[in-house]
Amino acid sequence: MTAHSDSSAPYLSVVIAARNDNHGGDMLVRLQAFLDCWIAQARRYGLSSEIVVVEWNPPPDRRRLIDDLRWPDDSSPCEIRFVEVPREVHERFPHANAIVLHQMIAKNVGIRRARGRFVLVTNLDIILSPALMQFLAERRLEPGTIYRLDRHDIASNLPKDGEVDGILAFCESHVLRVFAREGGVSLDAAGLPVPVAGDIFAPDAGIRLIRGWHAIERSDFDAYRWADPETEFLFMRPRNAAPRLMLDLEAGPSAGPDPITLDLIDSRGVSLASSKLSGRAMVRLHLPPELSCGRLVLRTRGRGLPLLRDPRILNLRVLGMEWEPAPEWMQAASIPGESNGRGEPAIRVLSTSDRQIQFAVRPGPGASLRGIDMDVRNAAGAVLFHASEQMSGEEHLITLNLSFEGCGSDRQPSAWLLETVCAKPPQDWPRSYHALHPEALSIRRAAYLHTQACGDFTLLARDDWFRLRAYPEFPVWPMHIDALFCYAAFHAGIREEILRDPMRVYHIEHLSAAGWTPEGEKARLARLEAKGLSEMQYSEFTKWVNQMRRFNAPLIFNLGNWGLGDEVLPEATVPHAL
Amino acid sequence: VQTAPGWPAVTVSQKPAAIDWMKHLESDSRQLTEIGRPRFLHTNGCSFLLMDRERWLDLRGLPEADYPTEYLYTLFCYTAHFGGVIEEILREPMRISCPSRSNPTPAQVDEDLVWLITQMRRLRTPAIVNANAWDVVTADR
Repeated sequence: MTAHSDSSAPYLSVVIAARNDNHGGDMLVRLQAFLDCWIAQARRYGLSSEIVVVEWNPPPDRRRLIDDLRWPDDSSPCEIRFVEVPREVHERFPHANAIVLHQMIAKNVGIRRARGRFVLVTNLDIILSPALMQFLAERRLEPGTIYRLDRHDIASNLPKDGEVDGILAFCESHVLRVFAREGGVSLDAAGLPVPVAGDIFAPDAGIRLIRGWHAIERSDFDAYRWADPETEFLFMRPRNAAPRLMLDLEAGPSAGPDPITLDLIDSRGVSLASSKLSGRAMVRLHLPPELSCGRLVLRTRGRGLPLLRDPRILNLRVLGMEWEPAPEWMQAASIPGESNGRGEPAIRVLSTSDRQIQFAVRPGPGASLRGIDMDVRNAAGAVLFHASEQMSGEEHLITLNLSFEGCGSDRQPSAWLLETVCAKPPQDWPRSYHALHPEALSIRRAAYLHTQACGDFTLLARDDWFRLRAYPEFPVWPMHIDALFCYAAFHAGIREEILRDPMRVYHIEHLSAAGWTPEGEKARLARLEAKGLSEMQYSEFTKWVNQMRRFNAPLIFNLGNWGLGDEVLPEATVPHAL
Repeated sequence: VQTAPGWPAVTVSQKPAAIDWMKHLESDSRQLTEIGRPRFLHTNGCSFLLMDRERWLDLRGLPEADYPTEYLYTLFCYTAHFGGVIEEILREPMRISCPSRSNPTPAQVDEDLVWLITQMRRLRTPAIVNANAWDVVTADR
């Protein structure tokens, strides 16, 4: 019987894998938080669901998980099932002593036995935000779609009382880092990504990168960040800066020989300025002078060609962001520091706008104005016109109106402008690490997917999981395997949808040797080496992705009996009402 | 070396090896250990492939991919091998005949294909290319 024909089947199955071995420390506390938050929120939003816990190779000296956890009197509309993979079955797999829980195969066991129309595969230390639970309850999920989202890591000191709303509030206010598509970033107290030392802008530039910026990379000569098709940044223009931001930009290897198009978008999605870019150039972004802070999106359109050694699509890199200094007279708070001499009147700029400059001329103490001479000169210093005026009294206000003659457009002039100032020597991409894939021009479909922390949230229709035969069941340490599945899904024609804030998954921080964290990477590798285990290297993962791109088809590594499909496994259920 | 009576095998002289294979392969030692002793399959003229129907379904048929046909046949043979299929080469006088081409294209080594076979050997896993739904109902449920 398929899930579709079973009217009692839940809408959504949630699959996790575990064993009662305190993996990562405080495992039961984290698992309890996951269960409590899911069950309470499923009830709150009316989400018909089941949680399938695959208990792999239970330790003989410990109780079963179902016996060590607290259960509500009534968990409806959520059912909780425990599927056990006994030690005898585990021991049939390679490295049975070194890998006590085959994470991917265990998850496949759960997917295989899930009854929901959709199946979310996650981990035991994940908490979903209310907005995400509400979205799931609205039954707007679609087959043929792989749902992904950013992971927010939170501190491990959860509120002691275990009250669900308290945990959810804690999650929102204790985010340590975010794993977005473009990489992991630490957040400051305001929830903004923390700039790194030697970033592409100075620490006092008043710039904060929000999303779409890859981690800083360095060559012998430059520090730079690759930019996603959409990058977002905040700016607060320093007092001594002109409203002009100099950008050191370079079209990336994925652009091929064609120029890329840059669009500057405001927070309402309105296009402010556009420009084309070939090679590397200094590009000046002109902002309205009255604007001192804001949030901008830089959108890049390029050919998006795939690379040989990097699964990313790299159309643009940003090597620098720097404000042009304002002339001294614009930096002065009130009276400019420069004048024609003692006793002569001081000049104060009152405002500048698109086509108007206003300034005040004020005589010194005890002095008075009798007349003013004014020259307007071009860039060569030649006088374009001269004006003089006799006057008397104290402060005198002068307004300089500018008008220009042009043709071809009736559009309102904009203060926003992306202006290419000068070209710079470009990188020789074909001879670099970031060379194109040799078949790049004939590869019809290539995308850089959101695979960061994808073991914590991957959601597809059950039929799609079956079509792809779920995760590869490789007999190695499960690194990049879940990401490989995402690419198989994409090359099978499944569309990636990234759910956005306030839809979130929170991951409860734990011991660094368990699972991947930037800080724990060295210890993790040492542990694998000591156990004689191999894992898929990132370079190998990239090659698998390239194979799928070249085939324009997925790669599936399991036979029809995936997920221990031939086994009858013991199962226990937590009753709806205890 | 054991030899049949009357067929002695004698080492006449030692010559230095042209390639020190152990040193040459040192950097790949872990992969070689994982691979073990792999089978080299008969993938020449793969236009004769015979297998039981259930296996064809489990392996989802021949790969449907943007790739040269001759390589897809080879890929499929190794996929079948790592899917648990035993290769049996039928011997003379069992033959298939094919009209000879006037200008047969010499076989090229495709680095991607070699890499795929190496990975299948290392992971002892088939690499199936098709995700079409044609077999889902019959094979997976």
